[in-house]
Amino acid sequence: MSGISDTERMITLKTVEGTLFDVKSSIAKDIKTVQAFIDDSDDDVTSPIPLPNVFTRELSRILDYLNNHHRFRSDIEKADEEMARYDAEFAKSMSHEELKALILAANYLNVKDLLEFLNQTVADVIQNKSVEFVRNFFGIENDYTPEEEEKLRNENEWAFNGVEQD
Amino acid sequence: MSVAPVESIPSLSSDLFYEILRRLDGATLASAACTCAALCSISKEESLWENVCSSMWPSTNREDVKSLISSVGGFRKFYADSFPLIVNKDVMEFHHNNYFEYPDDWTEAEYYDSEGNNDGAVNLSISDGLPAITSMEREKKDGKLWKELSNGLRLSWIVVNRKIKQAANLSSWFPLGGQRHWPTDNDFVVRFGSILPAEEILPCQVVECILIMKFRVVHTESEGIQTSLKLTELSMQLEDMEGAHVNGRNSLHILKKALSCQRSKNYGDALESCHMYSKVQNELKKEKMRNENRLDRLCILCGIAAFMTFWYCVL
Repeated sequence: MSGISDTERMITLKTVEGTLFDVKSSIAKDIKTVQAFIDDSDDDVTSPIPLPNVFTRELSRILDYLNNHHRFRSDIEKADEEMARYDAEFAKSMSHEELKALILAANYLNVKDLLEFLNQTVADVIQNKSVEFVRNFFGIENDYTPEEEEKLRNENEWAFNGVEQD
Repeated sequence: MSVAPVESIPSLSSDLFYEILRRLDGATLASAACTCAALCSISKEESLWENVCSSMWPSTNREDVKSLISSVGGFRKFYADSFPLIVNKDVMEFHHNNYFEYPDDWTEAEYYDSEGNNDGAVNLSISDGLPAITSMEREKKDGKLWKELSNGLRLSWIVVNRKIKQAANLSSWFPLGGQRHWPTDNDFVVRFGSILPAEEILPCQVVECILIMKFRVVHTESEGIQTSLKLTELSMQLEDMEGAHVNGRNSLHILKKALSCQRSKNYGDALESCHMYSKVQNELKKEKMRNENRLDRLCILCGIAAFMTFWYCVL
């Protein structure tokens, strides 16, 4: 052991583009994929941990989120209120494409809280939206024949009145 | 710093889709099924629908209800059957599942005999979030509790028929009306309902299904005065245009018909039909009054004429 206390230990992460991020080990704990990597390696991790699926933009966002949440949690009194406000801002600041990219990154890094929050954000976005909107949102190809789609729509007809305009 | 081009983003995995679909309401889940085959197969997952049902009707968590639902085609079908009106994600919840079942070998007459055989579970946790009532005089004046009741209360009355594997919600979700402080100061009556088709069963073509909830404010005086609301009555009745009760046999026919009638999740539509119905009903009532008045006058005239004739003969 290097004698440095746990809270001060820094871990370096490396994105696809090669950008390096220094992360406190207390925060790295929330990133399960990184934590597993650390646990698996016998020695102290000193060299940067490569993250072959994560881009710089997403990682910096994720670290932002985790840092802020850590900060909020240390101040118990106003934690919930501020966290909710921060989360709302965070969700609003993303475009749909960014949101999807962030979900993939959070999923790969296995950041549970963030992933749950992002899934909820997506669910809120597509709630009560038309089929075309959902297709567009996820970039889904319509793989039905017109007859098949007609049949499905008839089957689920009750769900379609009162759908919001896109 | 380079930005990831959009095209390079791979599609989300089915696990992720599942996680997202898990957070949708029933209607969005059903429409997500129409986007593509992959999402369709994920959205058919019963556990998703079980989730959706239990957040809508907490009593669907009960084991006996679960087995009932799976015997009539599963949660997905149950939801599509029983969710005809618009949802309000309100905090207040009250659900009552009432099972009218036709066991296979029963005739309708026998079934009618045992109508008391519904096993309804009334779980009422309604006092939370209601304004405390310190005095009934005060409540009479500003009607806080009444406002909460008539705005916050949601009722589902789901009829399930095992034989034809159909379910229907007979309620209007939201109260259609009610009466405060009746018959005593501490009583509140809230009315829900729907308009059911009765073609070929009754001459008036449509009947009103009336669901009545009666509440009483109860004071318990331990550690300061605590008020709570007690459900004293919950009933369903079918009435025809003239306000007469529909008899048992016809009621069953009407309920059976209701299981397969058209639905809409648009609350406005349902409400409109209820209002239309009461309008027509009022017209009818007025018409009837007018006819009765006419009849009365005719009778009086006849009487006078008879009287005069009598005296004319005598003299």
